[in-house]
Amino acid sequence: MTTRIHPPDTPPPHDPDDERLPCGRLLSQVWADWEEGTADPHRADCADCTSAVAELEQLETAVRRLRDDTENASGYDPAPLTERVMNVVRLELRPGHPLPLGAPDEDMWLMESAAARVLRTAAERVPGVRSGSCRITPEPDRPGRVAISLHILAPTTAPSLPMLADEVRREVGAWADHRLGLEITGIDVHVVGFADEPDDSEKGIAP
Amino acid sequence: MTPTALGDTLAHIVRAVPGVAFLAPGITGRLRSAFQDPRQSGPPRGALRVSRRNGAGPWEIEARIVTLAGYRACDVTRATRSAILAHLQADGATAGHGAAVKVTITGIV
Repeated sequence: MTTRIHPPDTPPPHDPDDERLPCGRLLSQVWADWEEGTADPHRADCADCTSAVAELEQLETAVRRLRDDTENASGYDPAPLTERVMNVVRLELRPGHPLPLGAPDEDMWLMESAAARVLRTAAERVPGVRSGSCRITPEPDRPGRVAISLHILAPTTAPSLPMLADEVRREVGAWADHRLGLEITGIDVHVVGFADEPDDSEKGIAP
Repeated sequence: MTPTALGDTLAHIVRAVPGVAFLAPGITGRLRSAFQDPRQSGPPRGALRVSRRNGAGPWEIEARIVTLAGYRACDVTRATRSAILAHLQADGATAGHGAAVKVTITGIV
């Protein structure tokens, strides 16, 4: 389990569902710091943080055991399932901002991290493109609409970066509409570097 | 009807909506609590909030769901919202008061 979701550039507002440990730390932050290997002297000495990390270790062990138990099953690859389960867990820890769906009075929302994952996949439908940070922000002056900003690595063989960006924009726009139903005002595509051949083992780049 | 009973009923209704994979935050909450109390039942904590202002005002329902990738997210949220409202109306729970329903997709699998 090495694939990480990429956190937004700025931390999302505090989710009321996020548990605050007795020591005052947010559970999501303690878990994220542990997953990312962030040095934190407090965590090592704090019984609450240690217990919270132990629970996450139990969770990962349980998922790993599930994978190992089924590894020998003929014709069944458990990796996609375990990856999807862990993706859901990570999305709960770092949900991002709520994005509006439908008409404003319908009160329907889609969390940014879930949408960003779909749109990054859409961008990678363009051959050779690898997608990275994807920010989706509600338009303050246009209720119900959002703007998309996506970072990509372009293939070195791309004959024209503007044409490549247009192609990515088309794919992302189509999926934003057909798969999500987001009303978008614009898609900014930032080519932040070049990628070698597509590598399925590692999706995404550092934001 | 009590908020708890209505919440349990609505949980079944929401789970039956095409395109809804499960109620959220199911995975983290269930697995964390599984180490402490494997007998936990009912909708996951925080996935379905049912309240009523002052105990007698309009029902306020908030559903947090994870949807299936093969379904359009906006359509699933709308169907979920419609299913909740339809039950409230059929049950007479909205008579004279109406209801506020909020649906949020927290993940897509």
